[in-house]
Amino acid sequence: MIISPLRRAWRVVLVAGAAAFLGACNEQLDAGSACPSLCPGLSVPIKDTVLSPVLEFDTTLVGYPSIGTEEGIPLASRGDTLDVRGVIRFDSLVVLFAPPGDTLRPVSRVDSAFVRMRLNLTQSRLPSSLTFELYDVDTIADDGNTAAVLALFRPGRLITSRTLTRAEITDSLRFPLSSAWLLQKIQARANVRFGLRLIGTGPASLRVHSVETGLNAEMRYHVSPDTAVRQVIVSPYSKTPIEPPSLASDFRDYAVVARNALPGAGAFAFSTGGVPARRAYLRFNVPQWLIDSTTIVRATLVLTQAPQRGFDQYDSVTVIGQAVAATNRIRDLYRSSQILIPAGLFIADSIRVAPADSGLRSLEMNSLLRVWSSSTSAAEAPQRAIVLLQKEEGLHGAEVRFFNARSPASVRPRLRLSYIPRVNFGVP
Amino acid sequence: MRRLLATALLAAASAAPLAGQGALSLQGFGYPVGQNSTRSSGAGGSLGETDPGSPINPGALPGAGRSLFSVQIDPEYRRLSVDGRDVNTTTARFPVISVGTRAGERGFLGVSFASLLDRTWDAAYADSVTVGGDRVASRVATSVRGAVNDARIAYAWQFNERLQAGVAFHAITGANRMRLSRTFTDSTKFGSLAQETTLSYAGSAVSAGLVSRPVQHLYLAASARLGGVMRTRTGDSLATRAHAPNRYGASLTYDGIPGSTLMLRLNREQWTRMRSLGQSTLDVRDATEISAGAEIAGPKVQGTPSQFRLGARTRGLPFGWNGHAVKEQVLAVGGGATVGRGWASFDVSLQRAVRKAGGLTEKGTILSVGLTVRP
Repeated sequence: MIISPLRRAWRVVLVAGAAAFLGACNEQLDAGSACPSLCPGLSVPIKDTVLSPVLEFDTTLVGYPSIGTEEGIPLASRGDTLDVRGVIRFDSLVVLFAPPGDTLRPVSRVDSAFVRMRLNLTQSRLPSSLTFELYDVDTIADDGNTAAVLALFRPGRLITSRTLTRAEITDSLRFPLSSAWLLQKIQARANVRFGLRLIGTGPASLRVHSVETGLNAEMRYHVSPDTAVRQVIVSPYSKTPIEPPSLASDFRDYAVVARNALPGAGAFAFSTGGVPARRAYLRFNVPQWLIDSTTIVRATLVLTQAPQRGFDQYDSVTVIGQAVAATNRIRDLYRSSQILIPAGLFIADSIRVAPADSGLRSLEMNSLLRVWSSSTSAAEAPQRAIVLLQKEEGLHGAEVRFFNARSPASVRPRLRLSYIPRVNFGVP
Repeated sequence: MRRLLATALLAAASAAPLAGQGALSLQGFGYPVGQNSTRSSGAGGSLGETDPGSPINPGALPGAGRSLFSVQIDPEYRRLSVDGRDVNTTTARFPVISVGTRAGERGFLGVSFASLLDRTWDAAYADSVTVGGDRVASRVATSVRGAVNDARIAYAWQFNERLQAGVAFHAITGANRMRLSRTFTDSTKFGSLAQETTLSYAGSAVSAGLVSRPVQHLYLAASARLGGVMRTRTGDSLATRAHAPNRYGASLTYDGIPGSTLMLRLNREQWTRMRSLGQSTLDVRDATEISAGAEIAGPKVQGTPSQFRLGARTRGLPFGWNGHAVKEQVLAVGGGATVGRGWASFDVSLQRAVRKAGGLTEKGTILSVGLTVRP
């Protein structure tokens, strides 16, 4: 077939046009390299402001974590200033056993009994010589009555003790137990509740692993000379309190503060850490228009640290902020300070300081303010509050303090905000 | 066949995405597309007053014959030189869709949708800002989609062979959907910004025009559009209020040379009536457009006639940059052929535009492909 040149040219034009159609569907609109000069309307102003006072309310709450939920038992002996002891309950002993091929029978003899604890020596303070004392602190007193427990740390109740040099202290501690004493407990179907106390030639502190850390204490003993009868291994268990049952598990092992002579934070400071641990509850008063009508780019809580002289004053600790998840319906501040959004969510920042330090400290909390802005119903909204606490709460004697809202304006907490107002973006 | 394949590949490659950026022509409320059909674009816009497919002069509608349906696509390939760097963008527009039919022996009713101001672009770039006293690296990404459109319903009447005239009502509508985000490298300290705004437009205008042949071979066409109130809204809130731009235009067409038609057109658009739609800093200017062109009968292809067109245009763009007026010069060529025994025509045009302002130069190549059906 002969095709004329003109007709061929038209075909070329048609194909080119069709290809251009297809190519045009693949737009490339990005105009970044020439910006911002050629992209008017993009410059969005970021405004800065400082809210002071910004706290509607602040207070220090004592007694965290709640009894028995510590990630370890902090034992401390600091002369007249700090004395923290531990309690481990073995309320369920093996009282019956069955020899191989025989019937069940009561335990009538005990030997080779011992209790073993695991030690966490991180951030420990060990003098040249340290004595661990084990007391029988079983009592019928109310479980929450720590004074009754502390009263049982007396010579007449001393079960055993071990004195070790610093070099002899490893991550495991074993107390041999009197077979007669344990047999009597077994036959009387009594509870075995150990009180653990530290006495050093100087300031001493260390942690004993607890059920919460997964390396709990164990009590072991043999009930028969027959090697075919296996050694009894008993883990911490508490029969009381009966109600609620979940509380009993908290009493399997816990810390008891016998003495903490550190003076309170006073009227012009709030406090975090220490033993028993303190939490600072800070409720914010941020203008509604800022939360609703702007995009908050940065929010920095600026605190002024009040130097704290006392034990562990030069030990560095980490103070973290956690957002309160409790709604405004919950009025109990102690409870509110336990209903928290997990650490790292919304407040990823932390403050690393030593108690004796002073000066300005900052905590970035931009994400949290965005959560507050998305909260609608006042009753169901989370409290506009955060809790300051120590990362290793209840395990360290160091207490970090900051000036509170009642302090002079120069040192009181303030919130530094950078925000972008709602702008008519894109209107040329 | 090999040549066809090569042509196709070349054309497709030319439209492939390139590293792209901002434009002189996209300042303010956008680029005035011109409302020209592919046919008129090929003649540099000089056919605008007499071309029934260009919704400019309602008096030109009877020239469509018995009925009209036309649609076109106008991809533009832009290159802007900024700081010794070439920035390329590609955008596709569907600037004019027209439908019309003869109403009675002398009347003609037409409806059209055309882009008045096209505003479609993206921008993404690295930037640093000071937040709370710290200089922070961030990335800005923004996009604008949409246009101010002109929806027109027109009626024209052919009084006699020497005079036809028409009137039209215009609804100025459309929206710009705008997104802006700024994300920071350190997302733990700094929250990102994400704003989305839809700016919608509502306005009206009326227009009238005529096409007359006062003497043999000479056609005079003129039209005017009077803009009414125009408003912008963001969400449900009234944002700004101004007026739709007035437009006045006239053209002379001479067809005394056999097989050829020569055109000269003058157009004036009062964009400053839109001033209060934008912010106080909006740099808006009235614009005058002068265009000239020719349409020459080409050879018949298998018995169907064809045309070649060429033209040139100079005009100001309505929105300045950095205190400078943006000027645009266009050279255009085009062609068309009637197919399907006169039931349809296929037009192609290629415009080369050079826009300048304040030492910056932007070059655009606009390919327009249009199909007109006359059922």
